[in-house]
Amino acid sequence: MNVSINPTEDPLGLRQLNALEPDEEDVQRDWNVVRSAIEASAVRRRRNAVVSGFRLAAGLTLVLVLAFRFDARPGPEAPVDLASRPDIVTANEPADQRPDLIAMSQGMERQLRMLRKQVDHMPTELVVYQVELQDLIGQVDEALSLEPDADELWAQRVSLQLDLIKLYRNQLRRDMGLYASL
Amino acid sequence: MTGSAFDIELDDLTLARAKRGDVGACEHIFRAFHSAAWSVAMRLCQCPDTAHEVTQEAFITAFARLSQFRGDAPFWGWMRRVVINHALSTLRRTPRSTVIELDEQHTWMEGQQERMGDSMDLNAALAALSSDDRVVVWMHDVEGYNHTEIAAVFGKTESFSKTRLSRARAKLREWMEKAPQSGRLNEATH
Repeated sequence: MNVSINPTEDPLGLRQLNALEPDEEDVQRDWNVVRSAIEASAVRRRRNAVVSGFRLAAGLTLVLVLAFRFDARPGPEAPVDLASRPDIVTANEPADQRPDLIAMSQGMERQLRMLRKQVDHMPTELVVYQVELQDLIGQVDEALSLEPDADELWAQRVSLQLDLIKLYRNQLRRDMGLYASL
Repeated sequence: MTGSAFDIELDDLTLARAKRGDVGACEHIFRAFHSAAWSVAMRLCQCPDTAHEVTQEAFITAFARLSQFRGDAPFWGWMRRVVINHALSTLRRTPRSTVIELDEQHTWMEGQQERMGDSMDLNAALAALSSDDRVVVWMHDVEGYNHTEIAAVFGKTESFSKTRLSRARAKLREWMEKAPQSGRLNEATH
């Protein structure tokens, strides 16, 4: 450890104070909490990777189906009547859900801003959960920047925001209960 | 920056493994830096339970954000900044009624003096500072941060850092110098 004391930088000798040491029991307890958070984060990342994998597979299948259908067309005759061809999946079908999902997400963002101002402290284990949810929302946002029309991503965003809102509301209820009992 | 308890070398392999989520590597980092983290958190927050909360949250954040550590500065400096940010954030969440501002409450000081005996040592004097003064003087005189860096942590100007440092040092000096002569702080202040 590099310790170089310049008297002018430490005129009161604060660096001479002994380092404070926690009990080994407390160190282990701290590690148990941190390890749980690391493991929870790893589980969520794996789950997210599986969902992304399925999404990628679904997207590739769609591309292959469309490519096959276009290749198989006999010639440039009448356009395909999609109503009579339910086996053809198009990217336009779910579009009518997207505006609702986006509006819901925006509304939830406003709620979250208000809730964050009201909640000023949470137990450590809930902070872990909060950080994880925010991380997942961040990952969904990153995916949305590449696929802004993906309804599934918007739905996932709304679902995560709802979890975060519940987290804050539950904490507020706990705080209200605590104040009421004083 | 010198004189910091965080100044511990960390090998690149352990860091790389931790970035990939290797729990063993994370534990190695945790055990290497825990003492320094808790000690700083304790000095700044002056409460063992709060220091443990700050330490836990700091490590959780550090491991969650490890991918953002680019390696263009020593890891220990980055880790230390995470701990200090969490300590400051925790101090700011503490209701004002539980934070003692000693330039407003000399009677509290007198009680503290009586409990300590004839002298107020540096530990007690540091504990008696306001949280902002304590954080600034610790960051500057012990951890070696400059005023620009301290101002950035607080989201304020360099002038804030310099003023707080000057004030904190003056108070510490006063409390430590007067106490051994008179035995009672209230005699020296009147």
